[in-house]
Amino acid sequence: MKGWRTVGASIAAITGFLVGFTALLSLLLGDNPALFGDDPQAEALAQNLALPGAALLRLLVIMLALSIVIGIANLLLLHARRMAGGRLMSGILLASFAAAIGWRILLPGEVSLLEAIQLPIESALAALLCLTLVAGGARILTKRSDIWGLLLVLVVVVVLLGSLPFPELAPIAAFSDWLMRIPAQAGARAILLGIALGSVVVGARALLGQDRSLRG
Amino acid sequence: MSDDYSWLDEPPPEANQPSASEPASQRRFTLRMPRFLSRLRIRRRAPKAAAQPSASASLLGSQRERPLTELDQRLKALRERSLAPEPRDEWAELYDVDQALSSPALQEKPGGVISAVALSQAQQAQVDLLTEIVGGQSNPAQAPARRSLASAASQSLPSMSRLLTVALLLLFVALPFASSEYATGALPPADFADDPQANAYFAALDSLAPGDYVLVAVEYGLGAAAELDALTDLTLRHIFARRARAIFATSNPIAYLHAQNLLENIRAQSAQAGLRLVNGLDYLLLDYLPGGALGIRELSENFADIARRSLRGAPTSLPIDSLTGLKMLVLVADGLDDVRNWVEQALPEAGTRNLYAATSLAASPLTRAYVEGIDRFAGLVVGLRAAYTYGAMLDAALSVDAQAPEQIIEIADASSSSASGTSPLTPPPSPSPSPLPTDTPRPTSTPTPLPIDSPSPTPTTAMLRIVEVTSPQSPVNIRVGPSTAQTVLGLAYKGDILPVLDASADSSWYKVLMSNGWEGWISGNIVTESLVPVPASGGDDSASLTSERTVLSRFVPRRYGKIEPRFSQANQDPSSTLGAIVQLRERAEAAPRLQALTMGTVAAVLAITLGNLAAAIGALFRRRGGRA
Repeated sequence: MKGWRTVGASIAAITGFLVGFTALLSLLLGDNPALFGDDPQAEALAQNLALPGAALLRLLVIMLALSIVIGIANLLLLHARRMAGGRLMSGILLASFAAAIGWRILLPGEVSLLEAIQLPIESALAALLCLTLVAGGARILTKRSDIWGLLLVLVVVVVLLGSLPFPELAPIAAFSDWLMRIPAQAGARAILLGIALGSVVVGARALLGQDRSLRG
Repeated sequence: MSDDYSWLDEPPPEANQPSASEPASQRRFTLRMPRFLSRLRIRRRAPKAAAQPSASASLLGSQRERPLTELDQRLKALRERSLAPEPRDEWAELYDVDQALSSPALQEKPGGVISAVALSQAQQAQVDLLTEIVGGQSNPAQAPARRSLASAASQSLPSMSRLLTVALLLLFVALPFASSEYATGALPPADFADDPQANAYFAALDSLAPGDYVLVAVEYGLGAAAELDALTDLTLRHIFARRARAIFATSNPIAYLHAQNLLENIRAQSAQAGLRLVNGLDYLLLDYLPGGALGIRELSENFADIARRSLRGAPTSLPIDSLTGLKMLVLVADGLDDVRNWVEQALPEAGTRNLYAATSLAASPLTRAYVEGIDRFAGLVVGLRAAYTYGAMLDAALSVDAQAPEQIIEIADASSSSASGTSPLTPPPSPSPSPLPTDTPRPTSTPTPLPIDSPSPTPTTAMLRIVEVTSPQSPVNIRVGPSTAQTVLGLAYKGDILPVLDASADSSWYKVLMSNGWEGWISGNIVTESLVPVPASGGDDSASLTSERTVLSRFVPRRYGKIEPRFSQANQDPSSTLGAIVQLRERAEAAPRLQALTMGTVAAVLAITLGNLAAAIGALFRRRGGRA
């Protein structure tokens, strides 16, 4: 049993390795005839190299779309089982799902379900988040009364004051703008760099079979 | 006890009592009824009840995971492997590669495999602090014992300080809607003079020529609708007013539905003014892009394939086969990931085409980092205030256009102009006064005049035979032949206008030209036939209507004139100019909303400042008391 599992894991790892490197090479070298010098066949070669990557990418998109369908089916089955067990909320969820689908099919031009229910609910949740953040902001120093908490409060207040359209607050607005453009953008760039480096590392781990998703 | 867990359902009665005999690893997860329902009753505050956990936090804190015995063999094996000692390091020869590529060691924690993938201690400390600040329960181990339904229903309301904060915010936000006397702060400026990135966004859209294709990516959820709807609406109206064509794409299905609703609203308002926006000609909804970044990548690399069919499955026959055929890309987004996905996946495939973005305030720092670092990411507008300024600039630009009537009224409805006694080239009356600020200065950007499609604006009396789909059962079928037994070739929707090529003897079927250039038959019972005047530019009209390009070049531009007899009255209405598509938008509540935003910010500053001041003073007194 264990031997078969090892064989299966090895096949999965090798498949992932081959597919990953094929896609990577195809994306790196494809559609770039300059890499092949003055060879008259360079353009055709570059185009051919791009084909496997494009095909794999399209296959992945199809699989992702299929996974959404499977996910929805799984969700429906799960809540159907729960509803059979007497769970009221699962029944409401299934009924809402059926109503939304039926509404769209029977009344394709009718949009009030989304605009009258979904939009207000999501907007209300966003507004609740705003209230929660302000309430939390008012309590920062009760939980963390140190220099960092104080700094956080000061930055929040300065940025909020700077966003107010009062001419009297122009100096604060200028400072707030500096905060947003320099420190905040520096943080944003750091996040971008981190994402890029993280993507490279995760990609390399996956390609080299070090990622657990390939071995599992 | 039930076999599985639930989030919001009421558990069986025995589940309400903690079982001391049950091992921790075998406890199962059950939850109570929704806490927001149980909080409807007030009880006396328990002594020394410090911070009451919020419903969601204690919901999470009290959940328990499935026992390990329920895991399947594969997951058990994975868990055992992760807990086993690390094998000999095979990468030791490469400096730091072993650390960079090795997976973090999983921690053994009670509760199963899910909690084994846990945060580090530092991360957990940050999460605890944040949870505590917002009033949640920081440590699941300290979560209160599972209460019965009766005790849960008697939980107290939130603390007084939070109630006061919420009341202050609500009061300040509501005041500007109650009376203009409570409005405070200046409204946003009437131009983007101080914001070159926003100015570039406006100038780019204003320079669109008729027939240009613009990819509009709508990537914001409904939670951001209040902030971004105005910008989306203005962007679309600007595109349509310039007679460019919008191609919609998104990886967010909810955003797509919402964008369709915005589009329908614009379309309905435009129809009231005699301006027809036709699906498939003026705008096109591409298929939903699954997979986030991968879907966008797919669109970028295989645009021709994806754009071959619309969202509803109808063939499109777009004359462009890649992103490079577009005039520009416009992104409306509220999330950092959406901006990143479009910049990284779509922009490199767009050749020399530029990307312009409208984002929420939260996404603006990261987006500005891209805008300032990438040349072809050329413009950015942010939030509700930018929408107000954008609207003012758009009004000003179109009022300039309205003074050049020969560029706006492209064709003349001979019958209506003779009936009204006005020349086709008579300047239309000035647009109705704008409710925007009267002290609005002229924008600094120079609006681009509308290009003229035809060098010869001479009106003629050539007539085009069309049918309009009037069936309430939309969509309707267009078939290969004049019979319901024939194969369905495509779909048409209520309001669609199709040129007629031929008709059966009894006019029960019409042979029409579809938007993709195909020819098909549509039943006469579901359409209304009419004749519309079109100027002849040489050659025989009916014979030349055989391709989509012909239709686009000869038919579509004239829809913005007065091609439909039933709209001929609109010629005397100043709102029936091209500017109507912009003037008709709803702006009545723009100023109160902005002032509510200002007042809400004031309330937030007050609450945060006063709350923390009181906390600091309290902490000071406590320290002094402790020393004493």
